[in-house]
Amino acid sequence: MSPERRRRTDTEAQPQPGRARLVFEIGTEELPPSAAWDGIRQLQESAGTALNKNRIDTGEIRAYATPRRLVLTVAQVALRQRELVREVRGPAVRAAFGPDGAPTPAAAGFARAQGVDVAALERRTTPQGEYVYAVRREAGGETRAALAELLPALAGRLSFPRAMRWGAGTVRFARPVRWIVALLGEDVIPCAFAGVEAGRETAGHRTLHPRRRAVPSAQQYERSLRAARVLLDPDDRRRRIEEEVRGAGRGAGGRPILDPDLLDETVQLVEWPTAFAGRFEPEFLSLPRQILITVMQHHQKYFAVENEEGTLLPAFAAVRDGGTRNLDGVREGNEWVLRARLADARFFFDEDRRRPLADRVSRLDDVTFLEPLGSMAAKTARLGALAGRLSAALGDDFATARALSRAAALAKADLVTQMVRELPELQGVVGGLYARLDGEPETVAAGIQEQYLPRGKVLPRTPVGARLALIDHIDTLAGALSAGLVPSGSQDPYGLRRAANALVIILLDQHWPTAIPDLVGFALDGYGVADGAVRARVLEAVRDLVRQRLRAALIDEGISYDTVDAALGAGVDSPPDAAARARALWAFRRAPEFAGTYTAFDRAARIVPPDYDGDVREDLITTPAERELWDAVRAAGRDGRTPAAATARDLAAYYEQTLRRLSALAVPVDRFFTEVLVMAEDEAVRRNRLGLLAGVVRLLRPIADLSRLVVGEAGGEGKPARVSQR
Amino acid sequence: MTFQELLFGLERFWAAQGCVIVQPYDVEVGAGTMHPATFLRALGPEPWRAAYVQPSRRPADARYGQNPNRLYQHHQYQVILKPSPDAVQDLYVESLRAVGIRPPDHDLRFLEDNWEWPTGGAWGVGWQVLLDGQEISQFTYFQQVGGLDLPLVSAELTYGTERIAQFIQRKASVFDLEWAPGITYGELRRQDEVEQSAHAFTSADVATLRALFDAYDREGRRLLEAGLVLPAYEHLLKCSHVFNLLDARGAVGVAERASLLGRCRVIARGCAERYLAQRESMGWPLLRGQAHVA
Repeated sequence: MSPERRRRTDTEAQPQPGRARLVFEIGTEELPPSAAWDGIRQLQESAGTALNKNRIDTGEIRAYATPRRLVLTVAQVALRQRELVREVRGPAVRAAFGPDGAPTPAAAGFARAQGVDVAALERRTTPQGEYVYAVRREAGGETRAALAELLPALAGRLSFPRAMRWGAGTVRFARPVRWIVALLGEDVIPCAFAGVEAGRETAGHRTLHPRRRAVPSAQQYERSLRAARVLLDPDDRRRRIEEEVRGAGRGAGGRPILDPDLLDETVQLVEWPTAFAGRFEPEFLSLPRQILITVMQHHQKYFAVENEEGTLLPAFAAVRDGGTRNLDGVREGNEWVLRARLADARFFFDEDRRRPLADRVSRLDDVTFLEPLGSMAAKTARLGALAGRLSAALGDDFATARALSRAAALAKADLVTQMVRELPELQGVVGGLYARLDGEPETVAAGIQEQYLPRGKVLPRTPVGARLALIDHIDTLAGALSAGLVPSGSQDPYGLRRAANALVIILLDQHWPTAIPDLVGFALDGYGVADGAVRARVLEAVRDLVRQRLRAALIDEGISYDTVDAALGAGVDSPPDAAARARALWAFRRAPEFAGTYTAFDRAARIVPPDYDGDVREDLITTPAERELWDAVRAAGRDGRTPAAATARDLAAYYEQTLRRLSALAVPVDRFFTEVLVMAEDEAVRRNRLGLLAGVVRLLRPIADLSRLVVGEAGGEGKPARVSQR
Repeated sequence: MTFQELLFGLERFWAAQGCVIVQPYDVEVGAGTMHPATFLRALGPEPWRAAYVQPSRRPADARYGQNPNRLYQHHQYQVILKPSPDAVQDLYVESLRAVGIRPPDHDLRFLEDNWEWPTGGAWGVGWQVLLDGQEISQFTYFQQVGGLDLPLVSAELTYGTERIAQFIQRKASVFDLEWAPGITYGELRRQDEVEQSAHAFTSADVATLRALFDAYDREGRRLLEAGLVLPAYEHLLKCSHVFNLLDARGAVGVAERASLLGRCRVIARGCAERYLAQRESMGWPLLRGQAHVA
């Protein structure tokens, strides 16, 4: 299929007079797909700001990547920078001009210092009064010269998780930089990065066009690349891959499983994709589906093919980086490799199946969990104990508790199978498959299979799976944190952030009320950690990780950051509860009652010392305003218990109702502040009045810390009608 | 193309690129990287180019000559280019042509694959090279060796020669490869594999291996103190091989693994540091009088 069949308008409208297209290509050795995607994102984000800061007017800015190049294209780049306008405030107008309107020595001195004519001083009205300004305009320079500085700086700011050095150089980049194209219209922008001078020579496809190719102008960049057998736009490659892989699947009598991750990866593994179908011997279909798919997808980057009923066919669709030349030979080679892989997998499967999974548990002594945390055998023992405690905490029925306990005992046994040693990404999956074949109950097998979830958007779906995943993650977190393995910056070698994320996701998804301190306590007991200081430190560290994750997840839902912070400020020990409070507060913020309620609680909170615990004595209540407030506080507090809400929505609805009920306090609080002097002379009365307000504050404290809200400023959406009185 | 012709082809190609063709190291190693021509020469500011075949022992991969792809001992073809030249990938692709592989007829990929040898304090960034889906080489830019940053980054190319030969000859089993005209890999090596597997998995005496490890370790440290870098390094290689045997024998527990590897690491890093000091005191001979800008 020819790429010319569907040509996009890669070279947009001809540049307007005084403008030209910019192309900046950083040519590299093969980038990891993640670095290519990351590079696109970073270029797209940083280029606009950098160009604007350099006063360069542009049209559309786009970033692209292939395995061997990161590219920035900018349409309609003005050939000259905007003029630079610098304004400096001088003396006040009344000091700058005499009564006769003539400039004073102060004005003349200021104008001289700024290098402008005194007659050119401009008058401006500011909030502080009327001032004179010196306005200096500098004509913009040549864009080409500015770009010569800007482009290498852009390249230098790209950062990659695993950057490297090469040769004798000191620059770090995702992979070695081998050529650079920098063109503004037809002109090369004279610059250099990583020791490579920019020019107009790009590199073609590694095998189809193994020579450099000159690009006559930025306008013709994509055309030149295509002639050199490179499809620049990842969208074009994706479209071509999808079409051709579907075609190849049809040719094999079925349809390909277009795994989105594999598709993303494949797009950044090829510059000139051509798909083809291959086959393997049908007897390999006796292997479990997940194993076949993993061998094809993870190891060979092939798309598995299934029929209409969803049964795998003995076929695959693969993408070659190149054209159709010797495609039969390429197919034959790939089939040969897959056959060897599948023969290995079948050998491992047969070997593994000689003994039941349960027989392997004893060998977990030899498998390290985390370096300072002992073996997987020890972990298995801890999971057993944790399973019992979690089941008790959740009030599980006997069948669930028994299945969980069995699943925990077998959970890690697949780590000593040959299959998992060969295909580590199948840990858990293999255990589940083998457990099923061993005749373990389906609940146990499914639980083992789900223990490493969530992964991506896939969550544990079975009761045993969710429980096993939860205790596995909390055991990892508590153990690593108690051993002082704390994630720092972007470094998280023990996967603790991932474990905390999993914990939060599972608790939210299952809507379990189990509190973080309980879970952490169970897990620390498993490690025999008795030192109270260590236990407190670990709990705080887990809370921090949980808070970070919850915060990100809730902001991601569209809740403003200050609403989230207010809700989380009242505690994160129960993530479902914290999430419900955040959602309720977010809804309440856009209700008409919010403004008055916020003002009432804010005023009360500002007067009451943070840890004030004075009680209210009825006999010291003297005024009707106090009486009204006291009645309102008691009424509002009456059903202050959290219900065992069945769903996240119920719980959020409960909190929203509670907030609306608390809005009944707005009027009494307002009246109280109007009619009552809190700081009364009589100390007993004063304490009583503070106690009343403390009662108000205490009503809201378990729901949210309102002091975190940004009200009446940008940041808090859903602005209230009345801004708080400060 | 026979197995030996493949090796000849690589040897001639890299000799023409200015590589010193050195010989396989005569102490047991698990990979060509552990040959001093790579591990030690990658350190410091002196340029260096070498290539060699390295028979490599992996006791845990032994399969009694029964598995079509796994061997106690396989042969790596190792190339070290220091500093990595700008056109190093093109050179590599050229080397494939030299052994009869025409790249445009195939699907040639460089797939991200980074390398790490914690015991040697060494890691690098690079790829596995795939030809029509078959992994034929590892391609690594060393970033650290012996825990030390490298003033010149080396490119290391490691060809899996059995894999490439199997692919070219389309032999499902390594033992069916034609080594030389009229004689197969199996005829030459299968019995070795059977015996080495039996040794690695059942016959090796664990107490003897432990005693050997301790002795090599002790001797290695002593030699390091005495400033004898290469003899000390050889004792590290001995330790590493004995460890691999113990591991294959299933005799290494969790805690012990960390401790044994930790002892290896100490000697490896010590060797790297002493080697650098030694080369510096010799005035970096291979700089040939060029100034070293540290």
